[in-house]
Amino acid sequence: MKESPLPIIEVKNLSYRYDLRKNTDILSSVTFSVFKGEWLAIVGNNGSGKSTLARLLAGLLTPLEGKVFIDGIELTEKNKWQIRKKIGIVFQNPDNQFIGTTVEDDVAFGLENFNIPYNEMKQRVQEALQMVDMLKYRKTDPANLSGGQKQRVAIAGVLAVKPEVILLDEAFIMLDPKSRDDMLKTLKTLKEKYRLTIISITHDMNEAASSDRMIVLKNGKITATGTPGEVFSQDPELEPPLAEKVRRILHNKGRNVPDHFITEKELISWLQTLNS
Amino acid sequence: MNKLLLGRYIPGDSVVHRLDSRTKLISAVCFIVIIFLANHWQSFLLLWTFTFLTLYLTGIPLNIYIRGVKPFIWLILFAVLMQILFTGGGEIFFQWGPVTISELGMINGLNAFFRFTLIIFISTVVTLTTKPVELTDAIYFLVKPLKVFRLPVEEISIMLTIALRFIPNLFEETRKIIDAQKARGTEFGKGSVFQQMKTLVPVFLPLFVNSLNRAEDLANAMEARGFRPDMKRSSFRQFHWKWQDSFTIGILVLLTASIILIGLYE
Ligand SMILES: Nc1ncnc2c1ncn2[C@@H]1O[C@H](COP(=O)(O)OP(=O)(O)OP(=O)(O)O)[C@@H](O)[C@H]1O
Ligand SMILES: [Mg+2]
Repeated sequence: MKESPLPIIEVKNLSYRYDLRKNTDILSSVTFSVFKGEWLAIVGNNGSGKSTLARLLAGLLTPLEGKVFIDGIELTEKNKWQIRKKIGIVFQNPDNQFIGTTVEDDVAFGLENFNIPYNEMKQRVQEALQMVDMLKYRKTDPANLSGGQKQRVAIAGVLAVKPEVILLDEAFIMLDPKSRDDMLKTLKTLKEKYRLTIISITHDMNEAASSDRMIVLKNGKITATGTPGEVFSQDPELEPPLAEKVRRILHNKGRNVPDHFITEKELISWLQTLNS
Repeated sequence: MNKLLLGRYIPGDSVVHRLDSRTKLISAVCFIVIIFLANHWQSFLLLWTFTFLTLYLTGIPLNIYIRGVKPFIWLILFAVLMQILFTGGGEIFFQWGPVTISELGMINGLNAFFRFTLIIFISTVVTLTTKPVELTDAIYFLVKPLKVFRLPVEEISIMLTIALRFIPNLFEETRKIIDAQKARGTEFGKGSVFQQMKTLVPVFLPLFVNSLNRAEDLANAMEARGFRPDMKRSSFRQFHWKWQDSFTIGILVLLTASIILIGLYE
């Protein structure tokens, strides 16, 4: 593993309830760390509390119990503003997070908030739009954009701020397969280049399988954590990615396949050995 | 919704489009003030020339402006009629009780007509050639000095900008809800006024709820992106004052001076 032992995010015994009158926790005693330069995938069923966790990490909700440390600093009501420079979030609904009246205005919104001077802002907006391939739409207003295009703008808005951690809450859900691959590649390159940390909440098991580490949430509790290989072999309920599915089928038919989790690449090289 | 032209931006690249939004706003306000100073046919001739020149320079077809006047036609006719029927003075052509049709009444009626149409034309020019955000920016710039009275000018300007951003969404949502209600057999615009109002309740209720949810999401997104109401922010949209702006302001000064002079010497 490439991860260094320095945790950029530490979550300790985090619990949350929207409705204090009920006594079932939406999140209960969630504990995990995220390391600098790591790609962490969070998966879980609808309503398992993924978006709630994202809101807690952004300091939008106050935990019922437990603590969140970002870059060694405890997230509190007082210093949440300081911490927001370090963590950028792309939310699930692209329409309700589009604040500007045009694409470039929206990307600039975060920079305006951090009082970045105009010239630098202009350059950063342009760079960020280029990264998500939306530069030619920079004067377009949101009413004339598709859902996927709005999601790309939202990602650009976060990239422009250059945070240390990017949290994506199903941020690729409206992208077409090719754009999704492109976006993942762009983010992977950025991650390598700047030691960016990425937390990706996703329902796409192929994407999760390509992460460094995974967390599975079920009814507000972490039920499994580890490398994709470990998690997919531990948790029988989790729908495995394609390569693993193929391996399991072949395995059940008594073929001579590796008997541990494999990635797409490993599957391909295994298939090639058959040929020769 | 398509009928009301006031407040709709038509993209373009004319001289007028490219003017600084502050120039357009100040000029429009100034123009409206001098419209009320004008009292002679020479003044109105000047004002009309200026207006038609501006309309021409926007590159937007004249019939669009005329359509802009249409919704106000009854209001204009009413004002004109009031002037004609109830002002006396000069030669009297007809009298019956309080109703007098006089020379002065005719002139006042014509002036009222001119004033209304000129105001509508000029404000339409501003709204058709300036993006709403740019107008908000201009308003913000002009009222910024009011901050000394502790008015939350910045917050109001952000609120306005965001409201503008979501108006199309609101229309879109209304249309969707109306379509959904129609699909369930609701008939709009039928029956008594009371019944018509009743059919609108299931339209506005979901609209209201949706807006509240949206507002919560939006507040979250703004906060997560570092928005703090009481902090100094930089601005991505900048004003660019060009010589055309100075020129326009110069023309308006000249125009104002001429109208005042005509008023004094005629
Ligand atoms: N604003 C809210 N007020 C009250 N309850 C909420 C609110 N938001 C979410 N919940 C509840 O909290 C639970 C977890 O919701 P959350 O949005 O975190 O799930 P999720 O894992 O993100 O699901 P999805 O995959 O559908 O996005 C759900 O049962 C939901 O009903
Ligand atoms: Mg969610």
